Amino acid sequence: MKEKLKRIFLEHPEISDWRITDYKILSTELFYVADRLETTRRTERAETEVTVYVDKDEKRGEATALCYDYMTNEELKEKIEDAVYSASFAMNRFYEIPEPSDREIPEMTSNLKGKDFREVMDLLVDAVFRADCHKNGYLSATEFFLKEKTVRIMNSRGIDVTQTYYTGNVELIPSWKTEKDDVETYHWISFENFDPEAITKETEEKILQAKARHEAVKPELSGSVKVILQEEDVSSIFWYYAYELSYQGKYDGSNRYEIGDCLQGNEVTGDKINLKLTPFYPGAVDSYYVDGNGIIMSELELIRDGIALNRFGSFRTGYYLGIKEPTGYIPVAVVREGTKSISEMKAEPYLHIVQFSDMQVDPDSGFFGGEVRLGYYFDGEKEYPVTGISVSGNIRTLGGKMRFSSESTTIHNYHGPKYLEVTMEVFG
Amino acid sequence: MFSEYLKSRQELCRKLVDRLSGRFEYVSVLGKRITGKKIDVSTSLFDVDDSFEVQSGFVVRLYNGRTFSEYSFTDIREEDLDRLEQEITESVRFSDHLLDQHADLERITDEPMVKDFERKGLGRRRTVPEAIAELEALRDKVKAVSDKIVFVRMTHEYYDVSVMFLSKNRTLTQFYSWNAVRGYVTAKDGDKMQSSYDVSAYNDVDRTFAVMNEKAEGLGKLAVELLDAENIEPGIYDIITAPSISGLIAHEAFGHGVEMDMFVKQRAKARMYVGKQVASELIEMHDGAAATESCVGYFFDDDGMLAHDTVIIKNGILMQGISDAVSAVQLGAEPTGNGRRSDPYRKSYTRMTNTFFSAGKDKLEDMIASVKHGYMLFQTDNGMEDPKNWSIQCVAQYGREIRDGKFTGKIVAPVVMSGYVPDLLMSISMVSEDFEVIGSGHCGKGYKEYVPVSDGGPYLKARCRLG
Repeated sequence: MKEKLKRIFLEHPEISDWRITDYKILSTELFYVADRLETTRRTERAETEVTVYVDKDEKRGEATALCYDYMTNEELKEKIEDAVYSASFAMNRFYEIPEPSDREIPEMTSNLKGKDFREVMDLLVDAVFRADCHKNGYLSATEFFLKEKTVRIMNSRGIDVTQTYYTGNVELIPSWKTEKDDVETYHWISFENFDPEAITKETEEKILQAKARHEAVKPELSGSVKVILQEEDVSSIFWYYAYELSYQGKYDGSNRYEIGDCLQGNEVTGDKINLKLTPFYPGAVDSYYVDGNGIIMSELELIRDGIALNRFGSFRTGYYLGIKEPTGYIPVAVVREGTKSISEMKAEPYLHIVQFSDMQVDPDSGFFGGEVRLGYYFDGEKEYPVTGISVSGNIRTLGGKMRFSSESTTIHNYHGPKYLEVTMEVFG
Repeated sequence: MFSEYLKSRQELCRKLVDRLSGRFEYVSVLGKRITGKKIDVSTSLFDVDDSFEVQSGFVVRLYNGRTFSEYSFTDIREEDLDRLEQEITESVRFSDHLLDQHADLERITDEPMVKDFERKGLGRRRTVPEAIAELEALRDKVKAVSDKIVFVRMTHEYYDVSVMFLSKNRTLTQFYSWNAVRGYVTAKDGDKMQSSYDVSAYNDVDRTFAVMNEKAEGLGKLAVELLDAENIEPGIYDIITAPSISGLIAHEAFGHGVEMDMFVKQRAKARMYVGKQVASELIEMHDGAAATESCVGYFFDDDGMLAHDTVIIKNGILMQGISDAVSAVQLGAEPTGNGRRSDPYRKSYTRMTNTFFSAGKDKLEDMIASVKHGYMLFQTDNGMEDPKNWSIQCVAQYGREIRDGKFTGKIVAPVVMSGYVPDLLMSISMVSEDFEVIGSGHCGKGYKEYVPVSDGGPYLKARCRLG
């Protein structure tokens, strides 16, 4: 495909630069209803994304089109001609595309590499169902995915980089049923290294969360309450700050902060944010070293003690902003832990939110919150599971008052404090 | 018109079905090819790419007498038939340990049918420079509203859908197309920032641009007005939902719970309520690709079942759910044509299509006049289903306060609706004669499997906890 495309590019002198991205994805999937296997799936997918760049009057246009191996030479020619035509009308300020780098691409390590996914599935299914041993608890539906994804990025300046990623996912719907009621919780487990014992442990924890939701009551709570957020919801808060420093926001004029500004407001009485972006962190399954433009990325210190140090983002917007070496879209945020332990956070009354239906963080207004599917409320005397209430707050006014836990966690695109303490408005 | 590429692969897919039919009790092949473009014009950039909907591939579905297996692939060629047949046959082999866990499912129906369906797009499809020029004009119209508008993006997307379904007894093809223009505006005042957005989506490209042209100025004014939005005082209020929010309630709060694969998985409370009252007697709710014209206007679903217009709620009574082919056969129900795949590399699930409440007889001005203190809620921000427990998470982008039957001018944003789904539906006391289905959105199942959907309905007067 690459050689065919290159020959076609040569027939178009208007093409100043090009990029070709090959995707190959192999997956093995199993779908269970309760403990019965309903469907098995295998997939093989191959696609090529082609971007052509056309220069005119000191401006540059680009257009992208999906191509497939099955396309004849004539079909490919038609696709490229159409992309050239489109690019010649989508003219922006001139920008360069990335040059090859001397940096080595570290290998993405995974113990799934080289394994027969069907054999791994045997172990993965057993690891999950081993935890399904409760009289009232059960897994109502479980989906298993093992995936190998290879991405090769080439461009006209000589970039030619390949990365292969291995991921496993389990969609888990644990339920807890008694004569009183039957309730469920939703979970999406991800891993790049398969550890059966860790999967069993996590499944067990999630089943017990369904039990807790079953026992949960809707509390008579309203007004300001100290809230403890955890895991992914904490990650969403820190990513809100990271996105405030994207090249795109600055270029669009929709940014609020300049380098040197404090992102947490004028008065920071809580913990100060120290945030780095990194392409890879062990256990963070969204890690990748090479971004969509073929940039081999490296670590970037973004926020130090709440102060904006840098911006990050795509090569094009970085170029427009005059950044010498645009960073690329660095996928993982690493945040320094705080000094307050979870036991210290829990010394006073609190609402510890374990699961939202879907916590929202509005990048414009700073609003965050949502409906609590499962939380634990401590009234000063006893802790009990709660559900059916909503919480809301605004990061822009609360950012300087948040406390971060000394305990850390690693999830999809984040390593940092596992818990975050903040006062929010509760209603329900 | 129907994809020449898929046409060129039809005979090969038929051969594959015939070859595999010797080994499996049921074999089908779905081929899908979507082509189209997305043209972005913003205050900072121009971009032209393939549409988000673009996809191409095939999926074979097999039934071995107990359960189903699928194999997805990118292309089929004459010289690859032997290899493909072998790979597919090999792909269903898992260990005895896993095979012992197989469910005992019934075979899905395969009634004979040979038919080609087509719905032609209306209006004149724009060339790239024409689309860019019209989008620039829309962008500039919005930008001219206020100096506080810092960013405007106008996006035109169009796509052509070709689908082919072959089984032993069925040979179906379909073609349809769709257009949308989306507007997104950001306004800023000091460190306050707010955004507004809207979509115009029809099968007629001229109308798609014309309607966005009518909406553009209002979109800019709304973004600026939202800069002064206040937080709502949490409490229980009378609400009037605009069609977008009525659709959000129909889709997120109730619709996911009547997807019958959730019945099979014991994941939906609605299963226990079929034949029972779940909503006010004023309520009728539909779903179906045949129910209205939208981005989901297919003629048959990804299981090869014909599209329906399913009445889910009538006079407040839950009549039935919607189903994909596998769920329907397990529940002894007729498939409703709701088996959908995010793309050919994904499994088919029961999915909503066009989900809406039917129009009523009330006049909107009477509904507003009847509110002592409450809010009219506009524009879907987000929603999340909870089919087993029926809790509500629906967020409106903004609300306008009503006191003593009149708008006060106060605007609140965002507005989170919470509570218990049947309580909300039972509280509906007025249903407007105005009616709109918003023809172009997307929905996931859980947190994945995104497919195009539409929803909407009339204005509804109800009572709900807001915060």
